[in-house]
This record gives sequence, C-alpha cells and structure tokens, in this order.
Amino acid sequence: MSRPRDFLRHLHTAVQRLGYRPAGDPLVEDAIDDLFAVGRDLTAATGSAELAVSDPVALDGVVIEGAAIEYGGLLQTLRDRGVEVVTLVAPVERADVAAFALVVAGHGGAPGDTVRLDERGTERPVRASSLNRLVPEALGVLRRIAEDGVRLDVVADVAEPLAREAIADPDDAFVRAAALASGDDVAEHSTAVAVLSAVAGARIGVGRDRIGVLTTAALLHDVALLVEPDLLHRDHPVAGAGRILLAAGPGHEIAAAVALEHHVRPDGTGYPGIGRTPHPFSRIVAAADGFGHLVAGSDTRPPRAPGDALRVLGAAGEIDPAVLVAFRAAFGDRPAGSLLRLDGGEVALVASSSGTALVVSDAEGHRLSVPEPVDLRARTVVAELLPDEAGIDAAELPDLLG
Amino acid sequence: MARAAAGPQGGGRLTDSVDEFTRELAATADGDRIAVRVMSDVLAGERRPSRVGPLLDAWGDRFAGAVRRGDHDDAASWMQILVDDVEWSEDLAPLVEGVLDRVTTPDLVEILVLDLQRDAVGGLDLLARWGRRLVPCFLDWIVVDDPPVSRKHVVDHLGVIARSDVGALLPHLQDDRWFVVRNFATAVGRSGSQEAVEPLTACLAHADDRVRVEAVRGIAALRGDAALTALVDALADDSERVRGAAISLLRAIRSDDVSTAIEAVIDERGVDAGDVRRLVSVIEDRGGPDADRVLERLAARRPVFGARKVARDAAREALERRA
Repeated sequence: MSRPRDFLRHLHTAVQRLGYRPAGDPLVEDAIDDLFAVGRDLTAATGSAELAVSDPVALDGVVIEGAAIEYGGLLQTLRDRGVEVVTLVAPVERADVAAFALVVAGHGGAPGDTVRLDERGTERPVRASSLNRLVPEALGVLRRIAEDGVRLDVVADVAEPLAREAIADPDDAFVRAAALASGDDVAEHSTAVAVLSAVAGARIGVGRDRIGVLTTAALLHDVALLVEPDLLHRDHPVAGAGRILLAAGPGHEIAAAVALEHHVRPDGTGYPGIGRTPHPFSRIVAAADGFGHLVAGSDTRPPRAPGDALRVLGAAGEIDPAVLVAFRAAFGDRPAGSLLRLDGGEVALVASSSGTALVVSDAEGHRLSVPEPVDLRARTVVAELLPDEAGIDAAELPDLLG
Repeated sequence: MARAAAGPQGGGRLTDSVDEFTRELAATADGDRIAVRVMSDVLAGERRPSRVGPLLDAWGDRFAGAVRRGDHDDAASWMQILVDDVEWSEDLAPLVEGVLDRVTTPDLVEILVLDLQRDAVGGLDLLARWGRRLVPCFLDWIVVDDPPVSRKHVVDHLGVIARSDVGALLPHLQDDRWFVVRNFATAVGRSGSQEAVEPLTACLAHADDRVRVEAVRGIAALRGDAALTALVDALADDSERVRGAAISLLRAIRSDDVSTAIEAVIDERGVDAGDVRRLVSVIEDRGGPDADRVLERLAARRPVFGARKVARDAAREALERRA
C-alpha cells in the first residue's frame, strides 16, 4: 500500500468514525494518529505535499491509480465541501490534521496552517490534450494493418501516448470516442474503444505500466475486421486472435486474448464460448466495445446518445459490473459531449462530466455563434439528443468543446 | 449513483465487485499462460486450413522453445492443446500430425529425457502427452550402443507412455530382436491395461526365455490374482529363469487358491525337484488354515519318490517349524 493511498485510507476511516462517534473518542483519535503519521511522512522529504481531489486523484501531480474508484465517496464528500486541493506543509501539526478531518466529516471549523485547503502550489495533473494529433495517428496505423500486417510494436507506439492523453482528460477522451464510435468505420470504432478502455482501465486500477498493453489490445480487438472486412462477424474474434498470435511483439498474448474474448460474457458464454471468465482486460474492452456499438447503432437497432448508451450498457448482463462502475465513474451520468434539450427548448452541450454545459442552439434551432454557459442544476433536461437530432455533426463536438 | 456506489460510503456489492476486479487484475500477471489458453481456443475455433497451418507452425515454435528452456510444464500445456483439447476434423488432422512429427526431433526428446533423469518438474506429464510419437526415438535408443540415457530409463519412459497409450507399444512385441521385445514387454507390463494381456501371453511362447520372464512379470502385474493360472503354467517352462520368476510372483498373489494350486502342480505335473522346495516355502510363508491343511496333506503323502518326496519332506519341515 502506498503512502498517498494510506492518506486517503486513514482520512476515510477518520471521517467514517466521526460520523457516529464524537471527537476525542479513542477510535477517532487512533484514526487521526494514523492520518497524522502519514501526513508527516508525505511531507518529510519535500516539505509539502499537495493532494488534488481531481479526476484522476493525484499527489504532487502523480496519479494515485484506482483511488478515484476506491475512495470515490470520500472524494465526492471533499468536493461537496468545496475542497479541490489539500496541501500539507511540514511540520504537519496533529491538531491541524484533526481539524481537517472534522471539516471533511461535516463538523465545520477550519484546519490550521499546516493543512491548507484549496491552495494550489503546483500544476494540476496534465490536462493539455494531444488527442487531436494522436487519434489520426492511431487511425493511420490501424488502416495500414491490412497491407503491413499486425505489428505490435507499431501499434504500441501509438497506443501508449493515446492512453496517457485520454487518461489526462477523460471528458475530452469521451467526446472524441463517442464521435469516433458513431460511424461504422472499424478503425474509428477501434480507436474509440481504445480511448475508452484506457480511461476506464486507469479508473479500475490498471497500473501505469500495463495501460499501454491494454490500449494496444483495445486498438487491435477487431483486427480481423480490418484485414478481412467480409469475414462473418461471429468469426472475427477467433480470426483476430489468430492473427495477433502470429505477430511477435510486446504484450501480444494479452492482445490476442482481448481479440478473442471481447464478445465473451463474464460467465464465459457469448462467442466464442470459452467456458471461463475472460481476462480482466477483455472485460474492460468488452464494455468499451459495447458502448461503441450502442452509439453506432446497427441495421436492427437505432443509435443511442452517449449518455443513454452508458445507462443501458450492460443491461443484459454482458458486461462485468465492476467495469460498469469504472465506466460510469469515469464519464459521469451525463457525460461530456451529451446534447440535451432543455425545458426552454434550447440545446445544451455538456462540457464536462462535473456538470458544466454550453447552450449551442436556441429554442428555434438556430446555432449560437458563441456558445453560452448554462447551469444545468438550474434547468430541467427534457431529453438527450443524438447529434443528428440536434443538427450537429458528431465529428464537430470535440472542436465545439475545445 | 455509480459514483457513490464505487466509494467507501456506497453500496457494498458494487464496491466488492470493484475490489474483486482490482485484486484479479493484480493477480493476472502478464507472464501467466495466457498464450496457451488463447491458442487452444483459437485452434478450436479456426477451421480454415490456410489459417490453421501458420498457427500450428507458431504452436511448434512455442512448444520447442518451452522444451529447450526446460519448462516442461509449459511444454506439456502446449502439447495438451493438440493432443487433448481440440478435436481435429479430417482435413486438419494431417496438418496436426505434420507439426507433431516436426517437433519430435531426437535433440528435443533428448533434452526431455536428460531432464527427467534430474526429476524435472512437469517432465512426466509432457512425456505422457507427447506419447506414441516418442516411441520410434526410444526404439532407436534401445538398439544403439550408446543411448543418451540408460536403457532402464528408456524402458521407464516407455512404461509412462504405455499407461495412456499401450497400443503404441504393442506392435513392437512382434519385433525380430529378442531384446527389443523384452524391453517393450517390460513397458507394456506397466501399462495397467487389460488390452495388453493377450499380446503378453503370446510372448510366453517366445524362443528367448528373457522375453518369457518379462511376459510372466507383465501378466502378473496386469492381472493380479487372476494371473494364478498363467503363473502355474509357467512352472512348466523349460527355463529355470521363467520358473523362478513365476514362483516369486506366486508369493505376491493373495488368493486362497494359491496353496491348492501349488499342491496340484506338485501332484500332477513333473515339477523340478529344486523348484519344489521353493514352492512349499511359498505355501509355508502364506500361513493360515488353508496353507496348513495343504502342508499337512503334502506331509502325509506315501509312498513318494522324487519331487513328491522332496515336497513331503519340505512340508514336514515346515510343519515342524510351525510347531
């Protein structure tokens, strides 16, 4: 267990105990002792430590893998109290740590000088997106596979930065993925699945050292359809896994497993029926793939708006519930890029999963030359719209938000 | 709300499922045997010979690599795919036979058997799965002057193969070379298969008594108490080696019929006088009321000559020791 994670763990324990025990209770004091000890350790080397209650959670700019899910409730509580950054300054005082725990537990007050709230000393985790450049690169690599064959190293070279950027800005990643997935192009669908898998994977605890392998596997999950467009859909998992097994390169076993298993349900049924629980990466990619197909629609099923797709994803038990939690935690109930009809007839574009939105067209359907911010909490959402229904090209959404 | 459900203050089941998933992620190291499972599933699902051929070549590379690095557990898993996991259609079976022939090279087999001498983990499992394809190689090592491992080891390995596939060894009981037949008879005798009894029984007529000894031993091992008749018959063999083996094996039979069967042989057949004492000692060593009654009958025989006299005297001595 890392010290940054320990800090969250002991804060969680202290806040929980303060929920049903008074300050000064021995159990509460024990938890605060632990929290104080970790705070002292975290600041020992550098003199201070900054916890960003952001998405993803980071300490001194380093993402704490999986913390957003593991301590999602605590982090939401912090945000509800208006806390976005917690800065610990050496020498950390125990009394300040105790006061901080009381603040988070809703007892009011304010911590002292050694535990400061919302004082940003360093930059937040990287937000600048290079997806504008990386998505076309990924598409190019995938489209060349039909001629060049499967080269794991080439795919991995584009997958790793793609994953890094997607994780850095899940909202941007989601908007782009939803736009890419709305068509029927296999390369675009695969890139969307890769972007979503990277973000969800990071949420659910896939370590930084393995996220590239997950994203590589996600990019290649439909490789057979890239190479053999006429292949029966039911045959593409086996055919794709076979192609990847024949390709040398880092992580090719996992990529082959994901290609094989991305239509297998958690109970081992589906196609091909393998009779065992698929690899965790396969379950993550299966969720992203399912989302992509819901957004794209098919001959027999109309396309769904991204938020709607997130809501119905996994309804038939085809997705691992834990992965669904990660997806919904990563992208929110009303994901960025969602187009909403408001009670006044305007169309608003959700700019971030935290709830900011822009009105992009008025009640008469006229596009605004400059989108206007709107507080969704003050408005009633009448419907979620597909881009076509809102008169907007899906491919345009990332630029509208940019 | 999913976000709350995922957190410490949220609902338990979803939080548990996330925790479980996270633990599973940590436990699923990249180095586990994912490739074996995927290859197995792909070969089970892919039916196009044009695609199966290259996959089998890749299989061969993986298998040979595992053997060369001494990871016989891994090699056995790869072999399992081809020989156990996948049912091959008629058009694909020749491709599979082809790749199995290609990987069954003397140098790979030698790596395995040398490792087996060092009790390598997984080696026996691999040996059993590789199975009948190793038999020609082992046959060569029985014939040559300087095999890479002792012939005892070669026969031991053939015995392992016989346990799962005795049919692969049976044709070699017809070999023209007595020493080949003897070694294969030894291995076949360890098969545990009743299918082997008849071919071994046929070996009892082999011209070389060393073959007949192994045949008697094999039949005794395979049939247990039911081998009594064959062992009693072997007491009439011209060869002292064969008779000696049969007498030793009679000691191991638990059936109450052994004592009376020996009595009948002494009474009715021309048993060698030297064998008689050993046969009486078999009865004595068994002990119990049945054995005592047979000893008493033998001791009471008169008039007696030759082997029957030897039997009477030996029985009396045995009874005296008992008293």
